[in-house]
Amino acid sequence: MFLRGWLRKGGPAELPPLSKLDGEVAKDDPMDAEVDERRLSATDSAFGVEEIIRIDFLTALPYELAVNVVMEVNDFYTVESIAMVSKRWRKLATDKEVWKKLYFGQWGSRTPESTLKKLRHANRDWKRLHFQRQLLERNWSKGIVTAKYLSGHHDAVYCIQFDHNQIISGSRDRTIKFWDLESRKCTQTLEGHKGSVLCLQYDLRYIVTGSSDTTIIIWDYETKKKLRTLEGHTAPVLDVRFKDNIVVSCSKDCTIKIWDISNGRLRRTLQGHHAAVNAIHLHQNYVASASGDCIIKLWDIDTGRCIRDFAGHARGLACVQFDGEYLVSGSNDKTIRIWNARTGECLRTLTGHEDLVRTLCFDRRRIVSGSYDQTIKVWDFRTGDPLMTLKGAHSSWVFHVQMDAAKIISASQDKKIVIWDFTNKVENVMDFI
Amino acid sequence: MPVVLQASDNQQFTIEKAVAERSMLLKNMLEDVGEAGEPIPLPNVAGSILKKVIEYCEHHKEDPVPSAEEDKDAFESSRRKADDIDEWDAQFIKVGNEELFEIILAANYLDIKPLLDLGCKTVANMIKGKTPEQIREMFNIENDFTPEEEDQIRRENEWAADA
Repeated sequence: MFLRGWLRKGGPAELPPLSKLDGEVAKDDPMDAEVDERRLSATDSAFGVEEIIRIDFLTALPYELAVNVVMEVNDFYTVESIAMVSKRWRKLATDKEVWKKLYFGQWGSRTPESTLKKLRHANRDWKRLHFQRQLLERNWSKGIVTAKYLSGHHDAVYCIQFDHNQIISGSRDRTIKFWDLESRKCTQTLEGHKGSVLCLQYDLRYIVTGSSDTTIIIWDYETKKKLRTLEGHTAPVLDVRFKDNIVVSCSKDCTIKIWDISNGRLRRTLQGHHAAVNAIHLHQNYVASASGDCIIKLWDIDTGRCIRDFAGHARGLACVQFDGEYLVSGSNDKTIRIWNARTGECLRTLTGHEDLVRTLCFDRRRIVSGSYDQTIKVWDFRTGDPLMTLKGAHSSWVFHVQMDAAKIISASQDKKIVIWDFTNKVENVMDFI
Repeated sequence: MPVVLQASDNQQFTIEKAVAERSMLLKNMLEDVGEAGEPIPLPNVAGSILKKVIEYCEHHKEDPVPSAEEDKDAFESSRRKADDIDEWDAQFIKVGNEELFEIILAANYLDIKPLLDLGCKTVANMIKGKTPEQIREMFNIENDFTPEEEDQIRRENEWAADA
């Protein structure tokens, strides 16, 4: 046969006892049992001793096919092993495509879509990038974090949002400030509200702010000019979210209102809560609302109907986030609850904060919460275990937190914004966030 | 209209067109030259292996045809796992190393992507979770690194472990 020359046959003398080999291999590998029992076909057992043909597959196969095999291995530990077997195997295990696949397999789901899009066609040392990313994770798990302050607001900072370059914040001093993330300097201040700026959200088109003056202002993101003011709530606007052409706001007046961005018209008012609606969150066609009446409601934006109630918190709700499948809430009862958004079932109750849980954000890996106990806690999303408590930087209530893969940013009643930076010794951070 | 394949050892196999078309090589060829009724020579595939490959294609002849130009980049394909082999396939690929090796080459030559994947996954599963020593043992590979190279590799790995 044509491949004869490529085969290496192990003579019986060099064969280790099969059981020994089998003992080493992982139990869940379906092929293990068979691997060492394969016998030669009749023509090959000319010596009368049954031999096992041991083919050095990765050397015998054409290079592209050998790369395929290594890509199928798809686990870092084994690829590292492969790299130490021989020169040929090392060449395969250091192949760019292999590491690119490993990288995306491991970190793809934890990287924002916009960054992934760039990375897909980017030229990187994928192996190095993997270790950098792993280092970043290790900083999180070991609690290696640096706190950096941004000072400039003259009163409590109620809300923040950040992107790759800046933070935008809203304060009791009635201003909206823009901060450069790198220099941590305030670059611009907007005035417009006649009361505290309690909530905000922005994208590349608009900045939308809600205030204790009961109004919502839509600002042009580029020019920073006021486009329109939405009036209709009869008490402070406690939270505001927008997407596509609608703004959703909630208020101390117990209602949720849905507005058209383009013409500022009120589309609908959602009634059903019996106390202040403290927080809302949007996901696709749904809005989740958290109220002082101890209930979280899930609404269909298109019909305005309440689809589901989530009851269980012992005291009023302060914050809620919703990703379509899970809903996470924080309450004056000092706990955080994780809910199945489809069934309304409470999956887990996280205890540890010593006062009202005022703010939170989460992904499928962790939950970050900020409390009136002046601390920020990080929790494991899946197990509900507390992972770390960040304290000492804020000297009063924590009002807002937001996170990405590299940092948490928090805003507090103490007038400060704090960047909790986990990137100690990590390079290529922009590829991760 | 059946298709006749002729292996390197002149063994002939008569199969349905739908079965032959699991192979992109044969599918394209049948499209381009039509069905002459003549045996199609496959000088790179031995009869015993071709028989096995046909068995696979028979079983999978009803599978949806993968779109020819599906651009699977690292991201899309990263979601597949080496261990998600279906039961029939797992039984089918329980063969000796030599046969497995030839099936991979034949699948590559005949351009039968799912079979090629199955073969590669099977080898990958043999390697998974093993230490370098276990791999060398299993495939009878000589450690051809110089002591200096081994040292260097060890240092690199320490760096990785420290990271």
